[in-house]
Amino acid sequence: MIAIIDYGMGNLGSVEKALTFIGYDSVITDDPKLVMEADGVILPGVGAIGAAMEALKSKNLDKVVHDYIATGKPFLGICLGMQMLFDSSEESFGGSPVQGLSVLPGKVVRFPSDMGLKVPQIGWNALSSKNPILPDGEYVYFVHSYYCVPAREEDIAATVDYGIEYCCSVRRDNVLACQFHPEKSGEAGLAILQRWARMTRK
Amino acid sequence: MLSKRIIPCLDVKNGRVVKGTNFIALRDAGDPVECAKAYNEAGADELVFLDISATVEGRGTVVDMVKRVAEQVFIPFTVGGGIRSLEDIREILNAGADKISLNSSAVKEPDLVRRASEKFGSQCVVVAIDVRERTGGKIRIASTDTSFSGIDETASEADNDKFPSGYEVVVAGGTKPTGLDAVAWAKQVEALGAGEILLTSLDRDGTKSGFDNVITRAVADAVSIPVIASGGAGKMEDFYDGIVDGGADAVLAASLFHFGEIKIGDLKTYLAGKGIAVRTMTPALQLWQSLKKDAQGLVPVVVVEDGTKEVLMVAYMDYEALAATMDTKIMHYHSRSRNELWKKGETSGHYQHVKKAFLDCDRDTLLFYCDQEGAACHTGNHSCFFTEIEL
Repeated sequence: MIAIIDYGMGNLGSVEKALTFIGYDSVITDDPKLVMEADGVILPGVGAIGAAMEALKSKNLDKVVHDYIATGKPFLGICLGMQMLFDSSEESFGGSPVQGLSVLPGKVVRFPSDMGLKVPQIGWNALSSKNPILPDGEYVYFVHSYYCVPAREEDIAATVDYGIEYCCSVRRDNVLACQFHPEKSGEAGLAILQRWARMTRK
Repeated sequence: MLSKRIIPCLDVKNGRVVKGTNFIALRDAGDPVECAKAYNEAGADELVFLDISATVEGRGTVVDMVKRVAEQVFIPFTVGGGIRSLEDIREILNAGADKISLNSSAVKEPDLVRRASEKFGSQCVVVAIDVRERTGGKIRIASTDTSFSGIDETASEADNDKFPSGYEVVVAGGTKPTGLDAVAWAKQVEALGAGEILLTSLDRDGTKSGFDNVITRAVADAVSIPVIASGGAGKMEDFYDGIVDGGADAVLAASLFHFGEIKIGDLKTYLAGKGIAVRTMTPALQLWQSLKKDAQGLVPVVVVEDGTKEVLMVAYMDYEALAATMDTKIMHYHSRSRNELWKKGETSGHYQHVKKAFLDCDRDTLLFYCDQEGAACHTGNHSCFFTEIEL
């Protein structure tokens, strides 16, 4: 069973539907017990990181995420669920920068405004990857205005070019996270989800 | 590099696609799920469903349609038409749509754009802007019989300074001018929190004379959010011009795609040839997309020895295995017992070198002809089928 963490924001249904489609059972939950017992956990998310962190903390799920990751079982962060893993984001919330979960060292910054880039980046972009879970050159779907800057080079699993070359996926031990939406990246994305989900059956 | 998106638009009435997808034979060309799947396989980057139901009952079918599409198709899709409140938006997003598009309801109540983006995030709020060019102080409007030939006699030359872009926002299918300047309105909805603009020239819509690249460029330059060009595409060059001259981040068309006049794959090849970044699929991904998978998401593979035509084995592939096989011309499978990618011969040295491959008529089984090094079967037998059954 895969637990999709529900902290009251965003559409979690597409992740669940994608898992069902590739043959994996999942539950959308905010119950710490179900999360801890799961064979795999997904932290999804869209929207503002400040509100998301508040929601997570209000349900004590920030601690649950740490506890779950410490078990060594597979963990996947998607989009905002990747950004929240880092120390901080410069996306403001009530006038101050947002503190993240500090699962991984690093920060989250906004796309530069002086390069004529459309922000948010919306659409399909090609991965540069050496990680077998994320095929090099495959197009995946992005929707975001902020991106992650990991402090440790070795945590970077894949990068992508949007005027600047930036990290769009991290992998460290049992933690995998991606800025793009595998659940919205067609068959290429489903295959990525499948490769991750397979680890939950080991 | 971010690719330019090709977006087919499907008109939906009472839960059925009108002018259904005719570019391939579907069992039910009016079924939104079948149409969406077909476009996904054809390489569409995103889909837009526009609900044109005239009745409340008709609109009620949209949520159910969204649910069914979201269970089967895993590319982003937008739903527009008749969305008037935060409650409407919540319902459609919860059903599985990625974005909603607001048109006349945004003009009527601009604050809805702000509230929607604050509540659900800018990324899911598309504002559809329909525009017409003003000429000689007047705007051509569609008469109610949609002959697109009317002139708004109430408009006058004196009003021109209210429209610095030369284009006016219109609503109700082009039958009502709004008094809003197209570029000013685009900037306003961006400030209100819109995540994307779907810009349709109603002068060009249906004419196949190309997108209106003047207003597309003006809007694209004025805002920093992505702009989808719509209305008027008739040939492949029009899409190129919309992207290059119009500065569009995405291009949208409807019947041109539905009737197969332009195939999305051909359009992408054309655009890529002219240096436009488009999402391409590897041959393996294209093939995999078109296959019918079993309940585990796998496809059975029959392996025959090329020289002797002896059946060697049956195994299963997932996308990863298919891609690795096509890439290396050495058979790779998905091991169901170990739940991992399995390069046949990795430990035994008994590699299988691919000579040719075939597709089953139902697209649910693959047949590979191979040169077998050593034995195919782990028992040491040449073929896995060495036990004859008494009949």
